Amino acid sequence: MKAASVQTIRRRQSHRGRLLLASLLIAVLVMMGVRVLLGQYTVTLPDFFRILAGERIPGATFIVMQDKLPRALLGAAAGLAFGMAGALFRTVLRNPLASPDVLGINAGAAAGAVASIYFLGTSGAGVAWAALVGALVAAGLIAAASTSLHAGAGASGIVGERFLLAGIGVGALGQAVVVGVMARLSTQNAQGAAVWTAGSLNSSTWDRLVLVLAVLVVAVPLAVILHRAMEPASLGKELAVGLGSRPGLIQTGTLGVGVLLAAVATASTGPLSFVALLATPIAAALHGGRISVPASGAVGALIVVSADMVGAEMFGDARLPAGVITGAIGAPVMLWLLVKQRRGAQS
Amino acid sequence: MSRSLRVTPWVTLAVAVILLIAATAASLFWGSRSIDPGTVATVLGRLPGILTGQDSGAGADMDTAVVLNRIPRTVTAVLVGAALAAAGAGMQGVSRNPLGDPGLLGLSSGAAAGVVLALGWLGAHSSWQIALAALIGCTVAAGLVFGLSQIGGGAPTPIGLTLSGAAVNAGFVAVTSAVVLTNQAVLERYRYWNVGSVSRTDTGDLATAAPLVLIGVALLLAGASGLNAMALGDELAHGLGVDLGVQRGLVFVGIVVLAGSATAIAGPIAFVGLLVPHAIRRVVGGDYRWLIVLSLLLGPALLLVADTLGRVVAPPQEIYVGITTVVLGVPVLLALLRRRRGVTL
Repeated sequence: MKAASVQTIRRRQSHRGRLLLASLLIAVLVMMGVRVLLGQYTVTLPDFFRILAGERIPGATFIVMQDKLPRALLGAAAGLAFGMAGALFRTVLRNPLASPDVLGINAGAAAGAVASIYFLGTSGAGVAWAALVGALVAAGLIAAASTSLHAGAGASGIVGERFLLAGIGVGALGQAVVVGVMARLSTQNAQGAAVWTAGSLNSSTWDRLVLVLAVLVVAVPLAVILHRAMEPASLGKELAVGLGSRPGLIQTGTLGVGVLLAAVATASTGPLSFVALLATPIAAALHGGRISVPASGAVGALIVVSADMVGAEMFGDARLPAGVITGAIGAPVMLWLLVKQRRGAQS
Repeated sequence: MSRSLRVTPWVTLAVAVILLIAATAASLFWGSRSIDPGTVATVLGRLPGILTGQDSGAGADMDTAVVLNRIPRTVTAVLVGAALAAAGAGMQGVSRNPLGDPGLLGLSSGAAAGVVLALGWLGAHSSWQIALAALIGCTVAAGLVFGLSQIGGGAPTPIGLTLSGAAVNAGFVAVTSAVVLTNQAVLERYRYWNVGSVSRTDTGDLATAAPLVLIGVALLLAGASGLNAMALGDELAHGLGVDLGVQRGLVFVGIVVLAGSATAIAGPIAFVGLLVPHAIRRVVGGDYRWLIVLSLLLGPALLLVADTLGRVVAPPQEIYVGITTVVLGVPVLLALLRRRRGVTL
């Protein structure tokens, strides 16, 4: 490709990217608005602004400020984190199935969180730290298992399916911890823990939101910068080194940020399955096949807020947590991705 | 398989029988409460009387009660271990895939979804109703995993099959949690059932599961020569005059019956079906008749050892066998994956 044509394509793409991002952000805001204003308890728009301005409307103020608004905001923030984590993993590992949920990172975070709640009696920010430790242990285990698996294939930087299987093994380990702890809880605690392990926004609090936002403030710019820095690496390792980039370091850093995002999101909402897996290919399809970290995050936010809305409002009194909805939708999508990958490999 | 140490199958059989006897003894004599071996022997001596109803088991002190509790637990572990290991051997054969395991491929979570739906929506309560629900769930899951891995033509790759298993697994987990979260009573049963354990079965469960396991084993053994032919490739098997459809059908039904009934009484237990046939294949080679027979002996041995370990590691707490098998199984899975060519069938 000639340099000039590359530049034209780039410019067109970045223009298209900005447009896409803007419309996705609007979609997220609209969905959050729908979540807060509509549903079994509706709030009119003027009332909503009066509540925000500090006016006390009996009933409505409580529901909006203690449930609906933090729920929508936390859903968007966690979805953003999951979606971006998915995009970062996919960029480094270059396999559409290599998302933190398939790789057992979420399960590791959930194991850390549940174990700390049960054994150490932690709450609040302590749970997030425990989730991070769990996620890092999971990531470390997978890396340790697969670097030895990958003496040959690792050189090209493309991570193969064995890596995914190592992840599934580690995920099984994390899941076993969660299930084991679940069986030891008292009846009252078990209900809460079951909702949490399914992944839900039921216990959205302002504290949790602040925690997630604090991480996002650091991680979002880092993620975008690292994703940019990954671009030379996508040309292949030799060329990237030739261009002065240090792929190994950048890849590790990118994965580290991805693990951080997945862990903090898991700590705040539980392991919402498949958000990361779904968000990245959807965003890439909208973005003309290119992986975009912000777009992926926006799609993740859209998925979580919508799933929460569907789960809470569409099933009458059942009020299913968001994780059940994302799991039910994500499983067929993952199967479809598998079939597509198989077809691609054959043709 | 050049590096495997081959021993004649008959020697292996003898060793397997000894291992199973040793593991059974360990399961009866060791536990989270240490009991004098003499007491255990006395209780075991009274067992025929208790079973026939002549001895009411009365006058039972704590130690006797504990030993009497260990007996159904041991029987369950034997039954479940045999079922899971044989199902794993059958799955590996029918999918010609080294990573066949009822837990890994989503069959257990299919059974779980079936059980939970039956408990929550249909008000099932008896042992055979739960077993039936598990069988139906298991059939749906197996049909999905194997069906989907066929799309696109050709034999599914091990990894493709495992990933479809993971996806099917996640889908059924979503169904299960949807039921569990809306029904407190089902959650109470489910969360104990969901961590695989052999310590909760009563005689009703065992009486339901035992005939099912026997049927499943018979079906698998009937299909074993077919599995041997399939291992040569479909064309060659066809040339040998093997009716692949019938043989596959036999094995498939056998797998589902075994995995479903084991999961119904013990909950999901992963990795037994993966590890045992592989270990045996290393020693005796790939003849499925031996593989299945030896799985029936060594699967129980592994599960008994895992269960006994879980009881003695941190007394008085017990670690559920479903967790012990994962902890033992994941390193082996990773080791299997490390050997690029080591896991051919």
